[in-house]
Amino acid sequence: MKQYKVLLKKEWKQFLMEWKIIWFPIVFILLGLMQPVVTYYMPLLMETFGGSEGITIDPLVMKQTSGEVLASTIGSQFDQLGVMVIVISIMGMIQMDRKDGMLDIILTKPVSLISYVLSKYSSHLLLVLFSISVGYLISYGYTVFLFDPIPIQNVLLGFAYYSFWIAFIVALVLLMSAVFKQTAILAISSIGILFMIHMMKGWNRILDLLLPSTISAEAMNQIITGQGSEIFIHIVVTVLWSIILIYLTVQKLSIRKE
Amino acid sequence: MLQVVSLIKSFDGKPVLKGINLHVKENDILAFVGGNGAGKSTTLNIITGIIEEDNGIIQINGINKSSSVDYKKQFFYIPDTIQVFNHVTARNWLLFLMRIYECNKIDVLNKYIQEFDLEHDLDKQVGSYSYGMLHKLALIAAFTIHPKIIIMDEPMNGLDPHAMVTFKESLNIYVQNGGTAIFSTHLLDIAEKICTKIAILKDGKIVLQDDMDSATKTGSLESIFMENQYDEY
Repeated sequence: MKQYKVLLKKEWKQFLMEWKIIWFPIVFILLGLMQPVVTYYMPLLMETFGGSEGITIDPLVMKQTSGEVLASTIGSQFDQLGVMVIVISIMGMIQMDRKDGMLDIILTKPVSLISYVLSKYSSHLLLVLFSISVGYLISYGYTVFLFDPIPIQNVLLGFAYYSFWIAFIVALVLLMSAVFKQTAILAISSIGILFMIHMMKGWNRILDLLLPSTISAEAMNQIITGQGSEIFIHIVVTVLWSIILIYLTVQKLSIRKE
Repeated sequence: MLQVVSLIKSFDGKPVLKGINLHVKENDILAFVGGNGAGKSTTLNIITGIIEEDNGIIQINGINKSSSVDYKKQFFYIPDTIQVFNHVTARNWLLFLMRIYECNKIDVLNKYIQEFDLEHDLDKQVGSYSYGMLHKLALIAAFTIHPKIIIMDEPMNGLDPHAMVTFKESLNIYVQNGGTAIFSTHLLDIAEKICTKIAILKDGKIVLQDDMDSATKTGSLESIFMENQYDEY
């Protein structure tokens, strides 16, 4: 436990040195800001920048509710561009240590592999969750300001559910980072798997129960309708997937050089 | 203190270590010498857990080799190429190592920092350190932490004359206080002066293991080494 705390502290110092603790939240603030602002000003933007000739906005189409706008921040910004930013920013967490021999050195010190892996996972998860929560908060503020208020319970529960999906993403990148040494392969495989899991959502009810990405859709439902379906099962499944991935990471790293 | 029995290792089917037996007692300073590719670094990497052995028994202070924290607490390893976190200052790197080993001897740390003449470079990032400075940093950490055994791969490489003198003095103090050291080196004249034991490795086998005094009774370590390495010598 002591070693875990020392390693965790080292990771946070590293984030500070690399300014990650500053620019990472800024990226998510921009992403969070984009959805409500663009949605609200879309007609004005089209008018100003042109390109609206021939386009008729159907007045019968219902205006987006504030809940839908905030949910779109998750679905359209965080789950797409945001996921790519997360993967690219944290994919070096173990890969860099392996590549430059640092992992070998750390593991000759009185540090258990589990402490090492957990310190990597928890520090990066905290960084990502902190950054996303700041972006989400800004998105919520602008949505309320430009549209209507959203019940705070829906906002908080929606984010809580979404955090489980983020925990899964970080666990997947952790494993990929332990498996691949080449940056390009690592990035492509991580993003590819995540998008595949995302795309598979909704194909089949049983598959939905097993997919960790369903919790992301449930988070959006929670924000829009204030209701989630089978949420407990989705949380358990996503947590289980994350634990399996962390376990596989430890197993992968425990195979020493031949 | 350190016991290595019948250590065997192959890479891609090619045997590199062919049954190494090493016995290092408390307070020994063992020079581990051999030609390039003889298997010195491989042996040290196996003892420290970087590489897995094919066969053999390794014990430090009665604890069998494993990935456990207990085993790893028994030694401090200084590899030939020292890897550090680039964005960390030397001071923070040393403090990080101290915390990992649960050592809080700040006075001792400061003493070694001064002796190795690193106090003015302590707030520089370790990424900017030269090869020799990194070795000094690792030696400061090792002597401060004072584990049961310090294992070093070519520790004198890159050290300036002042640091070399400090290294020898610090090693003596460390051993007098119950420490044990094993290091690989090509500097035979220095090894002869500071080591109490010698192990000569040739083609993955130990061809000579003895007390330094007894081994060098008939000639210098250099000549003993040459005799054991080259048949025509």
